Amino acid sequence: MIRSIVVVVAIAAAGLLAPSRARAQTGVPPLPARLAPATRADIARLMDSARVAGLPVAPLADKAAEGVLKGADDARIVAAVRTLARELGDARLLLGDVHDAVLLTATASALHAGVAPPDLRRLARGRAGEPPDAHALASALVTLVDLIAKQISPVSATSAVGELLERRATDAQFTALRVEVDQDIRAGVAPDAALSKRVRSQAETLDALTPGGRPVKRPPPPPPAPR
Amino acid sequence: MRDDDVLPPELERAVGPLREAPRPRREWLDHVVEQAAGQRLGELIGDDDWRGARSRRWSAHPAMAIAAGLLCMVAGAGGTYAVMGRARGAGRPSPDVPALQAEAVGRAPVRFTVAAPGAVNVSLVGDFNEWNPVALPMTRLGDGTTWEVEIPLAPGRYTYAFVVDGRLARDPSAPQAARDDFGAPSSVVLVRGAL
Amino acid sequence: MTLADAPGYHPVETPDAELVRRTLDGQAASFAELVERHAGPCLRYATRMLGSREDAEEVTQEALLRAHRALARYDGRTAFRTWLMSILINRCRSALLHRRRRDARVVLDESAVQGALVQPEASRSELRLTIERAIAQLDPAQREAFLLKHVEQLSYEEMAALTGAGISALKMRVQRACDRLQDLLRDEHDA
Repeated sequence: MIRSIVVVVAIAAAGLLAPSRARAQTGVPPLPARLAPATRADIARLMDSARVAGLPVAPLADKAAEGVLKGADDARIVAAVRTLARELGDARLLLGDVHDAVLLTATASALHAGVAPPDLRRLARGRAGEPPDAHALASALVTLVDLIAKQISPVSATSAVGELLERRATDAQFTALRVEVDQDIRAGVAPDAALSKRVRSQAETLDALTPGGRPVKRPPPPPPAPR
Repeated sequence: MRDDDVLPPELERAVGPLREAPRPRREWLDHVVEQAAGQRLGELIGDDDWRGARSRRWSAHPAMAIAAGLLCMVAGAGGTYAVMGRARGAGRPSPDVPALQAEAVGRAPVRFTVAAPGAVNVSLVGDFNEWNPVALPMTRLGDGTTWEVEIPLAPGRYTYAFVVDGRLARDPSAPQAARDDFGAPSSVVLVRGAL
Repeated sequence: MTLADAPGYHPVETPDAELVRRTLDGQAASFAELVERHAGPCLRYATRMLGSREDAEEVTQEALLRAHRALARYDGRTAFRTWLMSILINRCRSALLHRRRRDARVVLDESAVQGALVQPEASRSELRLTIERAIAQLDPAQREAFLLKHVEQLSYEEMAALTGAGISALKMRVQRACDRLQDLLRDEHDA
């Protein structure tokens, strides 16, 4: 048993070196050998178009590799890569002249999850004169997609995430929202209800912070009326 | 009301002999065995081999997923694994992949954990290793349930998942990737650049 | 603890689950034994489903190799035979789909059917030829259900799990298959 672990680690080390080196050189991983030549040609064509358009190309190769592992047939993989390429283009239109691969892929993912482009545009542009910081927007988008995966409607999820973004929520706060909503859903609360409750409490917390980040002293809430 | 399990006599007479299994040709049998010997065990195959009334086999066994989720929540949100990819353990090299440190320029070590009680093999797959199920095997910790691996990642957004005894499972403590075209769940990690 | 360690274990025939375990442990010979054990029944189903022994061998081989690759996913909760069957059923469906695309003919050519069905060396009665021809003429979904029920002799519960269809739908398909087969047999007889 121990011997096999050592062998596996050696293989792992070797296996990990090769792809990272390839990636380090070109920035883009090679397409999986399992794909038929015609499929690889199709995907390479899509990647070329993306490259010419100034869109990130690595996500397309990543998507192909993901499809291979997940056992999808070639046709399905090409379709997925084509869809992603299109969504990356749409993301760029939506975000304006942005080249940040993280933002583009996160936005493409939100489009794929069913968020309406105008809602996304509003989220990305922020309030008048105050677009959100790129890191925060990325966190918001990743949280947004996760909430939708939990069966929360795209409209509610986008609105919720927007509220936090406006209040300059940090990564930790986006994470907390995600985890709390998840807990509630497991406990049997309906997804949309869980979301509105948790967003409200997060927003209140954020509102209670002074610009300096120190909490404001508040009187304790009145005890619930006896029944 | 016909008995579902019994054929009418004339059909039974015709169909009965069909139940005898044919003897496969020896050359064909040998060929199959030879082909099997030449391929690697443990490659994943598509969900299309299990199309059926059963729910998709891609997610970890439901009890396991719940247990994993609970474990991660007990450990604290983002405690065991930096959900938004906050770089962790700066300066803590992983002894299992020493060769990577040479290429660690511009990368921060990120630790991935998952609870997989009873699992024999767990590995990490994702955009950072071309979804290769043997490239990043994870190590089981002393508690017998938690598996972990730490890898250096350049800033970016990565989709990933765990392979638990040949089955794909998403990270229950991490944000989910958008429902994708492949019908199997994945997770997302954001690795921040140094500020 | 393996099965062999359990008290009262009688190695009359190594159980499938134990062969799987040994294969995963690296003993290729154990997989060879699984193949020997299960190839015949797989061919039985595939030959009738596809109407051609050649296609059946190809598809059965595919299924066995896929099973081998995915062996780590066999959890021992269902019979190995059932698990393998689910793979085979889908391979057959896939093969029919591709065949349908390539070859638009719906009715099987009479002589091709006669030549392709069953081992040439077996003595085939008139009735056998007739029933095989009739089964080949069934609509694929009915054929599948009929074969699983009355040749492979699975329960409707097992069939539901394997095919993804509901039990009542399956019963209806089997019923229709039986009716059609009886008609076909009668036509042959009267001819």
